[in-house]
Amino acid sequence: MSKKMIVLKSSEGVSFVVEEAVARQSKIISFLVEEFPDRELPLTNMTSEILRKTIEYCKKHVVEDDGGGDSSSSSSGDLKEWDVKFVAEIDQPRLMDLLMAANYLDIPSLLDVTCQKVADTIAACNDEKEIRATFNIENDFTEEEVEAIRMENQYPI
Amino acid sequence: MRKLERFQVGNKTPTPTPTLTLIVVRFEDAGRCRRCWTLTQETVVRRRRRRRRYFWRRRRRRRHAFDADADADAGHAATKRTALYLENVVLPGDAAAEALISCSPVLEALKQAIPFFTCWRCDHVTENSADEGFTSGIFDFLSKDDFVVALRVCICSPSLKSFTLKRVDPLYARGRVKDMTMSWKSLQELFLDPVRRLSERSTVRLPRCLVSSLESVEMESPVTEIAIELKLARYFMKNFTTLRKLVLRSDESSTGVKHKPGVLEQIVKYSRRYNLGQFEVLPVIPTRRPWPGLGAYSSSVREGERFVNRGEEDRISLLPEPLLCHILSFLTTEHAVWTSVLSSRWRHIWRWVPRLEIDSFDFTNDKVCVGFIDKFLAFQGKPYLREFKLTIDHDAFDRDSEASLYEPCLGRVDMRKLERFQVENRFERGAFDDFRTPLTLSACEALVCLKLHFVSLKEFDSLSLPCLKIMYLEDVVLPSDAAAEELISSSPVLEVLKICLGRDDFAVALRVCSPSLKSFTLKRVQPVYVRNHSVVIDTPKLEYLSLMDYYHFRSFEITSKAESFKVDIDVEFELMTDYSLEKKIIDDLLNNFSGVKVMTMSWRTLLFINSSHQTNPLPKFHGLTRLRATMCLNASSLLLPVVLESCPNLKHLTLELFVYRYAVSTRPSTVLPRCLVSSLESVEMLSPVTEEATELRIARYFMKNSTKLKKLVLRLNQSSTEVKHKPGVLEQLVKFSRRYSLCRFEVLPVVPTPNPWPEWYVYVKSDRF
Repeated sequence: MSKKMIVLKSSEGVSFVVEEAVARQSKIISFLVEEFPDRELPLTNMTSEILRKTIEYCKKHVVEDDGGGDSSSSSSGDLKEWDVKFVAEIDQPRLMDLLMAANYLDIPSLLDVTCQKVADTIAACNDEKEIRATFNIENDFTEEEVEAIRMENQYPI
Repeated sequence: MRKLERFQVGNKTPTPTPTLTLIVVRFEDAGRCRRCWTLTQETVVRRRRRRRRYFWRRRRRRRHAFDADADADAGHAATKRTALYLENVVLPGDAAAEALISCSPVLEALKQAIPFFTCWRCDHVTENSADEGFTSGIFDFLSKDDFVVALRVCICSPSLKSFTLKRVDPLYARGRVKDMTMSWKSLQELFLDPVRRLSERSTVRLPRCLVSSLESVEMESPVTEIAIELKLARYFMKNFTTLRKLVLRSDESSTGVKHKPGVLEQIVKYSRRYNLGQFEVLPVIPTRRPWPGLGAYSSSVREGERFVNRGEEDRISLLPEPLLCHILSFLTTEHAVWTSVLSSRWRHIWRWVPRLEIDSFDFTNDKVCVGFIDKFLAFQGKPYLREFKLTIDHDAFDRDSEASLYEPCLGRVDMRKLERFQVENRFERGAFDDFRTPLTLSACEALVCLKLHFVSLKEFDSLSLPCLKIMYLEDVVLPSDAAAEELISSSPVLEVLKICLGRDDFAVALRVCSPSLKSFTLKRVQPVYVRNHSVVIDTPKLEYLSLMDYYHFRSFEITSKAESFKVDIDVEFELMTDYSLEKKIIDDLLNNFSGVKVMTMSWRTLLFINSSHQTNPLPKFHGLTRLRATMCLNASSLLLPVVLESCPNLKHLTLELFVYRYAVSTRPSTVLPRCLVSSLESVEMLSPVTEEATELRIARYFMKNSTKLKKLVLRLNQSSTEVKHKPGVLEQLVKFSRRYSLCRFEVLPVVPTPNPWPEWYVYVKSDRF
């Protein structure tokens, strides 16, 4: 039995042919596929690079219906490991793009993985200066304001 | 304010998160003070009137007062107001918004921007229309209730001619706007921009009262793949008899490609049928920006301000706020609070994270901690929090430190939407029982995971935990045995249950009756000398049972369990006073498992079996086919035959061997256990071969004696290959394996894990799960 394929088109106009089960992890695509079967789906807000990454993730996480139940449970640890590796090798701007893509396409697991990575990066910093430096966040507070916020938060930082 | 014509309050703080600042704005008309609004101000409050502007601003913490005043003064209020700007203003309620519009009888046009949560990109479309003489307003409705925004826009102004509905951030909706109702009377123009996002997973309820004057409808956003715009267009054509003009937009690249063929043609046909004067489909060049929504609406007025001119590198601050919130939800509250000082954009985001995870140890004392929790909960409003995780670390030397301090605070946690609830009390097992935190469980309709440690649950009347899947009760004092039973029985989907009985637990009969339970762990941390407790397990789906630490039950009965049932026994069977009676109790317990196929037995358990072997008949596990056993290396030659004998049908054996000086006095039995002869097929040793090479001897024992053995797996530290062992031993084994025609003989390399503890360190098992 041949699997149904779906064509996704990036903003550059590059087409990606994906198995339906793979693409359906995106709730948006799942919805679109039902509404417009046999049609190319343009994702104009996604570059080819990000779309390729997203598809790579979806391919890894696709649940095979015909496979046995225990094969998926045994590999759940491996999947987690794979996820960590997957986001580890992405640089920051691309991670943001991927995060937005996951959000746009509504792939909750990918969104969580990318958000987790960002959160880990924040948590790995020692103080707010380091966070600012890591993410290039411009400080628009004065020293006094920062002190005031700390007082207001009541949380010892 | 009487003669004041223009008044403008602008708050340029780019932080979009609403603050609690309230601004009371009073409108005066013809010199008389007439109206009073209470508005929560978000970032910008801007009101304009073409002819007069009267404002009166006062900072006050008042929220109410609006509804009553609004109605009473409606007749007089702002009769001449034709322009009204509210940017990013949060109104106290839908009713307030409604009143605000209905009180402006000359209001001719209303434009509305609905940014979702993220509002620093502002809509300025209204600038022009104001100059043209329209009355217009930009509204933000932001209901923080539970992220679900129920939007009800009632535009009852009889003079309103133009209405623009715009969403600033179309990217992040996630179906949170659930419901939209619009109604109007004399609308002539309608601009719909956010249609797509609003309606994707929700319903757009369109006006019931048909507009007799609506003449033009224009959709500013191109027709999307879902083609809701087309449906809407049809709706308008069908229902609005006065409609003259309908403008759609369509991405140039996608014309006739993405949509179902014929839909557009059908609409054109429709437009003819309904005598539409003008029907246009304007081509739009699709935006090349990766994220069309981002910055698309930042207008000229705001240009030059710092939040527009952010360096391109700072991608993270450009994320929509709900996403930032989501990111912060992966951090502890401590880390999330850090981010408040990053920049003004980040200042309040952490407050909206629906998750609280704190450790009282971080605070100077318990009062400060409780104060923080209270403030956090109060800010978010009630049914918002999804996860609550509190670690109480009592300071024994602080006289003010009291577990009961947390009781009112925990009572304020709204459980209705909460999915995970965890209270952990670090001050445990001391001499002071008072430190157990009292807790009252209430309705937990969404709770999935409940973990309590060292708390005392209060009596509850009726409890419903319809979603609860995981429940850990560690050292939790329950009001009665019945309460424990009810706690389990009121969780119809419970799957994992861990109960750790504490020193003060007076539960006599523990009944675990659950139709859904899959995994159950029962633990007792300290030996108890009274043996009159009983356990009944009636769980038809139970697949895994784990008994830990001290076994002190008079009876243990499993009335139902799943077909595939695994047992893990790691208990200390201490025989104390009444030797024969206690022996019988333990035998009864082990008899429960005689049919179990898969089992794990700890060193302690095996020792007990061995010791009872010397005086009594061995307990037999007839059903057991797969056993994982942990034993001391020295004792392995002694214990193995005994263990194998109690498992006559064993097929797979996994051994974990550890080094410990255990004096072996008796000689191993020479009788071959039955399973060796008849059933054992595979043996695997998890721990790498040590210098003494006892493992190799064990391997030989199996190869020599087990007739059905097909597979044998050894592990060898990678660094020690061929170095520490006697040369030739391994080779000899390989030879052996050939002689006994073993199908598979594997020696797996293992990367040695350095012992993290100093040599004298005695490993003490944690009391926790």
